[in-house]
Amino acid sequence: MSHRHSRRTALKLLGAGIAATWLMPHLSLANPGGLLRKSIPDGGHLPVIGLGTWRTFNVGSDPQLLDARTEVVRAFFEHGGGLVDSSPMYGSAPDVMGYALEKLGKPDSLYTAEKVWSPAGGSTREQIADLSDRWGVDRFDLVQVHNLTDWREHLEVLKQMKADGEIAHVGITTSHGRRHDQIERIMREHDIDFVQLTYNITHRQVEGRLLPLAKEKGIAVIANRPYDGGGLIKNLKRRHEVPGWAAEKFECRNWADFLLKFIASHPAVTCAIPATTRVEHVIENMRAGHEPMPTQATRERMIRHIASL
Amino acid sequence: MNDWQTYRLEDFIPFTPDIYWRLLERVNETFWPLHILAVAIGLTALLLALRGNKRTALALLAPAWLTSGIIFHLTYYAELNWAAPWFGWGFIAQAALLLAIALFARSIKAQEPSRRVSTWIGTTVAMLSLLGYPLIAATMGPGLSHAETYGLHPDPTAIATLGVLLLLLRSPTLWLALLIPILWCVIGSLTLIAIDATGALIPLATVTVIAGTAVARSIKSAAQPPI
Repeated sequence: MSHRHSRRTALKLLGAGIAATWLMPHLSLANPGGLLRKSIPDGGHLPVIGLGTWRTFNVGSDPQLLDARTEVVRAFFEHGGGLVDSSPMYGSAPDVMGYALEKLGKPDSLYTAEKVWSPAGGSTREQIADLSDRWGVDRFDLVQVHNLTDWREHLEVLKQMKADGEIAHVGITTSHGRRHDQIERIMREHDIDFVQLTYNITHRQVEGRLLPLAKEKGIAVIANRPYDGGGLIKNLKRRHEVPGWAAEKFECRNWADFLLKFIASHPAVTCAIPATTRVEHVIENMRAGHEPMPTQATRERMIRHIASL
Repeated sequence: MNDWQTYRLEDFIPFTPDIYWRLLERVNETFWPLHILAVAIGLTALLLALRGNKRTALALLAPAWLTSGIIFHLTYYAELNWAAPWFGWGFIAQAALLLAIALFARSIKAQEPSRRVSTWIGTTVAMLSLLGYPLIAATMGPGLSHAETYGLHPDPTAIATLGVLLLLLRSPTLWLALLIPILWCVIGSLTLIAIDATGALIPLATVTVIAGTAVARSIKSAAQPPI
């Protein structure tokens, strides 16, 4: 290969990279075939697949299940995982994360995402301090107002904590398509870093206003319920084969690939947070975060395919 | 759209099926062989009820509500479900209610209409719950180690109680005593439906049978001309 040719190739790649960055500001093409990472406010990147803990990590003090969940967390980090999302509303999940991190140590890629909820009543800092103890961490990377509960008071305190360096990022959450008007108003009127909402191939309401707004304002997006609470992937696995064209288009091997790559390939989405109790599933989920991702045209075909089933 | 319309049953159950099965198993691991004693007390209560020793039978139902309330709900389930302490106190209240009825309730009139049918139904329900319920997990569920037993787990405790109460009491005391067991059976079935468990409808089906029998008995009793 001549120098001239390689220079031209390099310029083409650079041009493509600039174009991709311009078209998809959250996209950071790490390495071909590797785990995709997207940028977050104030610098840094997150792998497009995170780990949810709703229902799955609420195991109480059961030693057998504590160890089983620790293995899930281990597999998550071994396969490049970063963001782990929990909430005081998820029962013992924060304690289980504390147990797992004590056993495994805290990998550099760990990005801790927690929530405050319930009537604030001046308890925001207290809630966060309690959760820090339960996780065994000095500070959280992200604290979100869970389902907009007392969001004004919580958000004010969280902003102050961010300014003081006590937390890195501030966010709000919703799920199941609830209160989108209010979420939109907060996104427009307040300086937040993250929004967490429900987005999957069968629940795409957020594509209309919230995702474009997040992209416009540079707000990172966490997509919860990527498998619609588990029912979506369970039904697909039970009743249908993954279409052959999906393998050709974006190396889709299974339904986890199909559903997660759909979410991760949206330009405004930063990461999806599937929850699981099983090591093989967390590995499957993490592999879905690898390139290649479906193009816009393929995404539309994916939607039509799911609608046709 | 109203927020409540977006909720599904699973949204109220904060754990996955494997966590619930382990909960049942942990209770068994910790308290075996208390199961044998609990079932023996339950069978004694049923036998006494059939022989007409009503007050002792009612009093013998109370310990099962106390133990399953304290052990299952307040000690174990409370780790997984914020509502479990409420369930636990409800079970303790039912134990107190059964003892209170045993102490203060008037005895049931003899010669009740359709007594034979309700006796047969009550006995069958109680027997199946006391002896057959553990077999559900062993034959259709995750295995014998997850078996649910009267006096330690809430579903068989509530179901067996429904059967024995049908033998012992009549309206309005019957309905007062049935209230908490019926409520628990509804909650129990909904929980099992949400985690897609085998036999999820058993508690709900039992409520339908017992409540239906009690209503039919009340109607017949009201239609009976005074002697």
